[in-house]
Amino acid sequence: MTKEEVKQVARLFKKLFILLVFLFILDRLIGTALENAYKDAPQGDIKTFAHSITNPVENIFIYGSSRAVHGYDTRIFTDSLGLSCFNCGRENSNILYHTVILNEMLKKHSPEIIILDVSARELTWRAAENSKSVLASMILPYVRRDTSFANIARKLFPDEFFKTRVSKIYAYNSLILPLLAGRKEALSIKNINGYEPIDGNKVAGKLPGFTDENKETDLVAKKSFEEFVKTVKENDIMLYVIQSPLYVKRFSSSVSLDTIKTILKKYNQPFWDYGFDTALTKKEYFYDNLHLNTRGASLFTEKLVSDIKADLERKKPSLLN
Amino acid sequence: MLFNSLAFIGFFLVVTSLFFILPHKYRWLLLLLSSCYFYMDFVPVYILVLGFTIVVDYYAGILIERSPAKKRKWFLRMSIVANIGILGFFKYFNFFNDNISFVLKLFNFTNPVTDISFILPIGLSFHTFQAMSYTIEVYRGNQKAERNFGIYALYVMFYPQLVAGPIERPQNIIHQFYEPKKFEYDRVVAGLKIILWGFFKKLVVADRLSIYVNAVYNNPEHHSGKTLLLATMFFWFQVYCDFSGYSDIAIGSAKVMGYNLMENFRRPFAGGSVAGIWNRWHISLYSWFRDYVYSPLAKKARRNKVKLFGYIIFIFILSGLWHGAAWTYIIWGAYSGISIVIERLYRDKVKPQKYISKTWMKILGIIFAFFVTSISCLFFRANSVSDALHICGSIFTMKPGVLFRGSPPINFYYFFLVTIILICVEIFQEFIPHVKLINNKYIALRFTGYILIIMIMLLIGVFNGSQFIYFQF
Repeated sequence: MTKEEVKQVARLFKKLFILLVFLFILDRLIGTALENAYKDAPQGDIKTFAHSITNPVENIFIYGSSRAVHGYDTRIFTDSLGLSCFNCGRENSNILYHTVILNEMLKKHSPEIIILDVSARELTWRAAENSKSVLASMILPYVRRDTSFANIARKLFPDEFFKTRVSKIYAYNSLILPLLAGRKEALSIKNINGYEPIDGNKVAGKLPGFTDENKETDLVAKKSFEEFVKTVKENDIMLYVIQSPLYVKRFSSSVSLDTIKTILKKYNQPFWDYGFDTALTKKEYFYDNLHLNTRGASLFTEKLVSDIKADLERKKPSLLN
Repeated sequence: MLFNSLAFIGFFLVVTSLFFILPHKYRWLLLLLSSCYFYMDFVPVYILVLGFTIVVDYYAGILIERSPAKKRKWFLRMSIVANIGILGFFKYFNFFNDNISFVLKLFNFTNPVTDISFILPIGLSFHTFQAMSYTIEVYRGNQKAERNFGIYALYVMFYPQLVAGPIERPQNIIHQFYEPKKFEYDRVVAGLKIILWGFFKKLVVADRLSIYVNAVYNNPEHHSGKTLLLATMFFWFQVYCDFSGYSDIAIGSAKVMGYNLMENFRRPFAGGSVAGIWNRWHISLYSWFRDYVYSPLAKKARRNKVKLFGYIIFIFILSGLWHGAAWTYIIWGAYSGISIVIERLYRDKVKPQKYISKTWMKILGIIFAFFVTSISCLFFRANSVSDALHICGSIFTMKPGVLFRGSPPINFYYFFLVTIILICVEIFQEFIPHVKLINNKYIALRFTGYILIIMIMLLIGVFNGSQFIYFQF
């Protein structure tokens, strides 16, 4: 390299250094503002997630994807069973997500009942890899202030963990709008202990299919499911694994559900299938083909709660007193 | 190695630093070795396939140059057959075999030949076309046969454009490998800016939109007409930002080291017509088809319009096949070719410019061309022809249903946000080029631009390391 070239390299490094200093300062400032907004999120996914892992106090916890979020009315559980209830379902999540937050919750609190809503694609469709991004978006903001989450992130998504260590705002990637929406949601009562009712009916056209025939089970998801069941059983918590109602073409088999049933059998745990319950699978009870609307959720929860009540009377009547 | 990975950032820094540290005479070797490493990071064994075509075309070039006229043609054909043979085997064997099986089945016969299971060598169509352009140019006398095997291998393997172009011509790049490159601050910074914008297009726009597009296109039967239309339009922006983002990173990486690669995209949506879009889209591929296939055919056709139009459609079908061995790509190509022919006929016969002002012609042309080409890319993205037809039917009949917003629904607004950012930047670049941000003469504005881009990337970019769409070609 000539002297002139060395001079130009030095010029480049100088400018890059100035740019990095500005970036660092802004990253820390904006990152801190986002951190505070995140901690104080009044509603929405962020609040639900935070509550499930930092301040869990309820007797009943419901896990699942969007079908759980919109299908299980927490008020009915509390009114009928006299037990407090929180729905920590999360849109687009799957068993990997549920298992991680279950383990975190159990460090602080042991509920009486856990309900897990599963779908016919639980272990195949949104397989573990896809669920990781949902999990990452929720966990990364905690990486800098909680070592157990830092360990989970380091283990499950090392690249993301590294990026979070470098940039503070990266932990809040894609969370700006949910944070703003959470503030807006706080003004309306749309989130009742994690349950998010949806009104209306958008079901149209022919019944679509919703199965995972000929798909392979995701081994990570399968392992997570078994870990979930095992953990709940080991903590002596009542577990209900449920398929909630669907408005789709009836299917006779599903790789996911068959695998789930096999694992449950191993732990002597029944599977409650309301998927095609004739009393509940009516068009007017659905928002779309996969999600119950407010009316459907209410009817389904009433039926589920009455079944749970009967089951508890036989197995653990002390809970109902 | 993916451009949008931490590994590439490290690779780029190491290779570029070594490039400037090493004396000029060793730089080609460094680039060749690093290009081999870059390629072998995908499927190492396929370097042998690439090596085979390099050896064949290297000797073909020398033999073409040395030989008398008749033999020259023979050697050119030999080289083309070898290149197309490899491309055909890896890319089209199963496709043609499946179609033969289908036809035989109609007559109750069974195809005795079974499909072969293998992964397509990454970027095969790109480096095959680049290698072919070398022998064709040597044959035409526009390029001297390269005697230095290492330099020729580098021409095919130069890592920035190895797996997804731009498909270079030998006249543009080979001589640059011989030129000593100095570290020039302005050029290096210009290259880095192109890379930064490429990353923005890929991470913020393409990968963000892909979330919506994939959710809709992987389950088209669940979605309404308006959702499918929106996903189709988003896909058009996605594929543009994905591919042009890759090209920008490639062009910028080469520029930092002092190599000028050809422009591959020139704000295609501002083309003002269907033909205008394709003239500005994947320029290195379409100019390849123009120079090596269309022009020789058009020469023979003289002024026979029917033949010329037929050749346009033929070229686009070929380009469809180049993209992938599936009927969806062939239909996409045919549709694109036919729409250009119809547009040309309309402009020749109706002469709309007589009735509408130039500005309105441009605005309406942009909107019209965008919609026409959006429909074409529906075939490009759909998982099968039946899916494509279903989506097409749902869009044109406006199948009732709710507008899908994705999950969580609030993130729906990101898709619009990134699209609007892209459109605004492209409008400025095309129509108000003197308004600049990262190229502004004031340092404060330039730095604001860099910081803004990086902050947006950190806040709404998608960092899941997804592959570039064009890698599969």
